[in-house]
Amino acid sequence: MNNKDITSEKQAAELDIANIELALQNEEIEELEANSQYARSLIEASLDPLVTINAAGKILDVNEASINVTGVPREKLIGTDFSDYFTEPKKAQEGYLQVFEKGFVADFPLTIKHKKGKLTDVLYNASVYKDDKGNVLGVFAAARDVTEQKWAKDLRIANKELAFQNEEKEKRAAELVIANKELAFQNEEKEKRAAELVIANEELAFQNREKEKRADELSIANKELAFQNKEKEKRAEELFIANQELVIQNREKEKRADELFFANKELAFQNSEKEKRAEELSLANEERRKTNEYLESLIDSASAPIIVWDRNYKITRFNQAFENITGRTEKEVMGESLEILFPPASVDNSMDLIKETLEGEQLEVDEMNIAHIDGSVRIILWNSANIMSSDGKTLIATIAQGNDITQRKQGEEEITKMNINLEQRVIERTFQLESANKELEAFSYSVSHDLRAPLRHIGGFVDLLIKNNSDQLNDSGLRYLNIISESSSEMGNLIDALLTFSRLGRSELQGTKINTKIMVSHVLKTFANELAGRNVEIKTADLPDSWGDENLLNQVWINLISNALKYSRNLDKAIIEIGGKMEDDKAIFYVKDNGVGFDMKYADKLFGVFQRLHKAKDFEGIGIGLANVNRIVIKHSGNCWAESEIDKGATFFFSIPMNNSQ
Amino acid sequence: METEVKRILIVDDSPKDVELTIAALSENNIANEIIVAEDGEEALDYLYKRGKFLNEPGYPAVILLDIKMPKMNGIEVLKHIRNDSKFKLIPVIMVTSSREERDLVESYKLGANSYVVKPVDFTQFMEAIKILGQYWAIVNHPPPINL
Repeated sequence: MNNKDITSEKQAAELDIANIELALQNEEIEELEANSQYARSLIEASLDPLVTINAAGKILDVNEASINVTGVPREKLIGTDFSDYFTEPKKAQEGYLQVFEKGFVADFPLTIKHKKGKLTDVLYNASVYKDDKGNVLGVFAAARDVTEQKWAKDLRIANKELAFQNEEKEKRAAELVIANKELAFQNEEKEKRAAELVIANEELAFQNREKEKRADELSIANKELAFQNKEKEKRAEELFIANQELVIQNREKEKRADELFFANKELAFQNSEKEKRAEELSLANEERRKTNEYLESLIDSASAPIIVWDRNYKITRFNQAFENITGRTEKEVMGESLEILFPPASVDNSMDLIKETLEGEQLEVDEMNIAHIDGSVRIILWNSANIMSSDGKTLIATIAQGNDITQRKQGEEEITKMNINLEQRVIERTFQLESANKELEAFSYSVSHDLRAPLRHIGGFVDLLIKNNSDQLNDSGLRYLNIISESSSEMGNLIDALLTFSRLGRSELQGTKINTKIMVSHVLKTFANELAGRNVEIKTADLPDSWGDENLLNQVWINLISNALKYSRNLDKAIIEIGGKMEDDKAIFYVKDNGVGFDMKYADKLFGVFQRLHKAKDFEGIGIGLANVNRIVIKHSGNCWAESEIDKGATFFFSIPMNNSQ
Repeated sequence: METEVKRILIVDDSPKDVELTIAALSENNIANEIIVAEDGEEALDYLYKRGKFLNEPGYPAVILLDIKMPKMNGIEVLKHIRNDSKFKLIPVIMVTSSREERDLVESYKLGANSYVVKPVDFTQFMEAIKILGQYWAIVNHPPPINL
C-alpha cells in the first residue's frame, strides 16, 4: 500500500463518515424541516402581523398578516427597514432599540401605514432571539391590532358623552316642558287679558264719546265764562276808577279836614294874639302917650334943631333950637311952608332936595342953608326921615334934625385956605432949597478947585525945596519944611472930606434891593491888606437884605468897619462882629468891636462933623466918617446910634426902613 | 509935519502949577520941548499960529489941558480942538484939580484921551507927571498932523 492508497482509504473512510454524517444530518434536517414547517404554519396562521428584524433593523421575515397590514408583498418587505412602514418611523426605531437593550418590549404602541393609506393602531410585543451560543440574532415582534379596541374606547367615551348629552337633553326637555306649561299658562292669561282689554277698549271708546260730549259742553261753558270774565273785567275797571276817585275824594276830604283843623288852630291862635295885641295896644297907647310927652319935652329941649312938616310941607313942629337959629318962634311958623326958612338964594335947591326925600324912606344927609331973620345964614347938616303910618303905606309927616355946622364950615374953609397957603409955601421953600443946593454945589465946586491949588503949590514947592536945597538946610529947617508939607496934605484931606460930606447930603438916592451879605463881604475884601497884617477875627452873623442906594450904603459899611478895625488895633486879638435882623419894616444892622470904646457921656457928639472922641495922636482921623454914616442913614429915613464901654469895645447900630423910597 | 521933536503943550493959567509941572517933567528927564499957553485963547493961538505964537513952528505931540481957566475954560478949548479936523487927533490930557463928575464926563464926551486930577500931594503929582510924560511924550506914537 502506498500513500495514495492510504489517502484514498482515508478519503473513503472519511467519505463514509461523511456519508453517515450526512445521512444523520439529513435526518436531522428532515426533522428540522418538519419542525420548521410546523412553526411556519403557526406563524402564517396568526392573525397578528409578525416580523423578525435583524440587528440592523432590517426585516428578515414577515407573515401574511404583516403583508396584509402593510400592503407590500413579501419579497419587497424583506431586507427593508422595519421602521419604514410606520407613521412614526423614529418611534419604531426606538422600539426595537429598546428590545435590543432590555431584551423585550411589551405593549409598545405604534401605527402601521398601509401602502394605500389605511392606518392600523397596534401594540407591539417583541423580544430578542439568540443562537445556541447566546448571540443575539435579531428581534421577533408581534403586533396586536388594537384599532378596534381603540375604536371601542373612543366609542365608549363617545357613548359616555352621548349618554351625558342625552341626560342633559332630557333635563332640557323636562325644563322645556315646564316652560311650555308656563307659556301655555301665560298664553291663557294673555288671552284673558286680551279679553279684558277688549272690554276695556270698549269702555274707553264709550268714555271718549262721553268726553267729547263733555268737551263740547265745556267749550260752550268756557265761552260763556270768557264772556262773563270780560264783563267782570269791565266792572272791575269801573270799580277801580271809582275807587281811585274815592281815594282822591278821601284825600281831599282829609286835606280839608286838616286845613280846617289848622285854620281853627290858627283862628284860636289869632284870637289869642288879638287879645294880646289888644292888651299890648292899650299898653302901647299908654306907653306912647307917655313917650309922646317925653319926646315932646326932648324935642323941645334938644340942642339940635328939630322940625316936623306934613305932606304939604307945612311946618307942624318946631323946637327951641330951631327957633334960635332962625329967630322965629314955633307959634309964628306953625302951618307955614318950609320955604320961609331958606334964604332966597337957595330956597329952590333946598325945596327940591326936600321933595326928593319924600320918594323913599331913606335918611338924607345934606347941607342946607337956613336963614335967620337978621339976615345971617346958618349952614345946617340936614338929616330927615319920613314918618309912615303903621301900615307903612301912608306918609304922615317928615321929621328933620339939623346939625349947625356953620362954625365947622367956616373952620373947614380956613383949613383949606391954609393948606393951599401951605402948599404954596412948600413949593416956595422947595424952590428955595433947590436954589440953596445949587449954590452949595457951586460953592463946593469952587472950594474943591480953588482951595486945592494953593495947597498943591505949598506942598509942591516945599517938596522941591526939600529935594533941591536940603544941603542948605539944617535938621531943624528940614523938620519945619516937613511939617509944612504934612500940614498941606492934611488940609487937602480935610477939603476932600468936607466936599464928600456935602455932596452926600445933596445927592439923590438911587434905591435898589441890597444883598447885604455880598456888600459886606466885598467891603471886607477891601480891608484884606490890613487884616492880613493883624490877628483879627471877623464874625459875620445873619445879614438880611436891605433897600437903598448901593454906593451910599457901601460907604456906610466901609466907614463902620474901618472904624472897628482902627479902634481895635491896639489889641493882640481883635474881634469884630457884624450882623443884623429884620424888625417890623426895618433892617437893623450892627458892627461891634472889642477895641478901645468911647465914653457914653459924649455919645451925642459921635455923629457930629469933625467931632472926635479920641486924640489925634492916639487915633488919626478927621471926624468925618461917622458924620457921613449918619448923613447917609438919615437920608434913607433910618437911624444911627451906638453903645460902648471904655476899653470893652463899641457897637454901632443903624436901621434902614425897607419901604423907603424917595 | 514937524512932530519928530515931541512937543508938549501945557495949557494952564497958574504959573505955579506950570512951574511944578515943568519941574516934575525935567526931574524925570523928559526933555521934550515944552510950550506954555496961559489960557484957552493962547492955546488956540499956538495951534493956529497967530498972536503970540505967530512964528512958532511945530505942533504938539500931546496937550496937557487945565479946565479952570479965565475967558475960555479947558472944556471949551477941547471942543475947539476936536472940531478942527487938523487937530482932531492930537492926544489931549485933562490935567485939572477938579474932581467933579460932570467935568470928567464932559471931557470924555468931547473926546479927551485922559483925565488926571492934580493931586494935592506933590510926590503923587510928580509921579503922575512922570507917567504921563513918559507915556505920551516918549512911548506913544503921536498921530500925524493933517494940514
